[in-house]
Amino acid sequence: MNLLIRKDLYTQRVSTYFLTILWFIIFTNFFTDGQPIRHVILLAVVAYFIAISSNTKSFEKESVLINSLPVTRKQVVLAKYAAGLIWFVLSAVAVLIYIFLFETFAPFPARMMSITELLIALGSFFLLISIYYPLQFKAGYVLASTLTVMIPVLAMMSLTIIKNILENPRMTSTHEWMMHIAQLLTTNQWTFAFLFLLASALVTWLSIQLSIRIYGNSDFDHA
Amino acid sequence: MENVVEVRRLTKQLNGFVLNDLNFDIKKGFITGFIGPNGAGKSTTIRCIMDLIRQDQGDIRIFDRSHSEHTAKIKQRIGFVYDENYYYEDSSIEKNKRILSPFYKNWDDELFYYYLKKFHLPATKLVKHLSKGMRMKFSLAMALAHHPEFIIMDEPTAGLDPIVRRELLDLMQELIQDEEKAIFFSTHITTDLERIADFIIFIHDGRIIFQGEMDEFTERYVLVKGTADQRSLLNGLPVIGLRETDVGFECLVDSVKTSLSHFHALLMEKPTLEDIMYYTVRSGSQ
Repeated sequence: MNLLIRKDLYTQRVSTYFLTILWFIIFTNFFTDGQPIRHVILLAVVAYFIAISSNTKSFEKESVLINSLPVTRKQVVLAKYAAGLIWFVLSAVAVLIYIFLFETFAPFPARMMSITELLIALGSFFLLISIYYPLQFKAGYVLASTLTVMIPVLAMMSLTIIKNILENPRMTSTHEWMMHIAQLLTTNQWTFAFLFLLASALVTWLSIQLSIRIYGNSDFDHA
Repeated sequence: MENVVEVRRLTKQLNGFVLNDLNFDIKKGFITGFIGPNGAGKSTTIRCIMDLIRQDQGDIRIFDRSHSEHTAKIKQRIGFVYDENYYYEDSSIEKNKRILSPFYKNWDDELFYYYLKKFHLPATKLVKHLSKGMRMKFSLAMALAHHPEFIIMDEPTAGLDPIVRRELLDLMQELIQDEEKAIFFSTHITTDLERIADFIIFIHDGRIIFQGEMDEFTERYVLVKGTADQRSLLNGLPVIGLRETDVGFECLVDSVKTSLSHFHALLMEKPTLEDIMYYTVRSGSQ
């Protein structure tokens, strides 16, 4: 399995790393917003983007090559999920460097990500790839990436909606309720992070089982 | 003779095409040619043998093992030459080797570089910049560098110029000399097989038409020719792929099914593999 993970690292295109800058621009509002929640989403999305970029349109063709090597289909699937951890660590390093620079030089309030935020980002990332991989193994890269790219977009939209509600003087009761929830999450952030990670682990496990089943029954007849 | 591969009752339905109840063996120490027209089911069969396509029914045993339990061990011992390029096109030959060679326990770097030198392949060249012939040679170097005992080649000579084709055929004969390997080689270029194959498996429309020794195959069939006046001599006889013109006719006769004494008044010739394939396919479409 290590060889399959290494293969993914070796074959990742350099352009992918440059393209991730795009996500930094989008999720930090052109480097002007340093809210912690934005960094959590940014980290999950950057890791997700790099992970799925190692499984592009050529994935179907590559499957012929990989499955003619002395590996089992189960190993191929497990390696994809395991490689996710490596993509996450790489992305975390990039995002933390960015936050450090932002915190040091930008004239906006910002702070380094906490461990609980990193764990929540990790959980979010695995939720994303848990949706992505079964879809890709079943329907291919184009459909899987198109459908899952909607999730970060929806997350950003939700963030904006929440922000608008908080700033709307006519919605005081909703404002109070949201602040209460925020307060609750802040005071119990370790519990929340742990529960979220647990839920994410469960979904990932289910996703792995489903992917093994789908990939195990696939025919690699790409020509 | 030891069988490297045993295929029994292999059935697979895929994209409207059916592989129907295939049974055949591939023997150690010999080159087995797998012939048939385009779309006959050659690649699908090979992909079933490689476990790239899962069969609906039947059993495939390689080195007396099945893919369901021992696929990694089986593939350690197989060298697979693809029908097109599946390697990393944006990477160099060297990088492809670096990525893929660790998967094989018996990978022999020295042998790999020996083949690169023999085939005049520059290790630094990107795969996408290789010509079709060079890609085939690269694919061969990758397939042979881990000392495989069973070499599968899916249409390796298609699209190659005569010189490269000849080199490839010579190499296959060289490889089989130690009698420890088996080569399974699909093609629709029948002259390649006439040159090197020991055994033939002829597939058409998802069914095996013939399998056996090469000589047995060409001796079994007879090409019968006659004038238009002699056409009536064929009445009631089971001939294959009859082709009639204003001046005469030609057809193939299976000597196992029909006595050749019926045709003593006609011209009989030994057919080439291409003749057998042509008339059989023609017979199916008539």
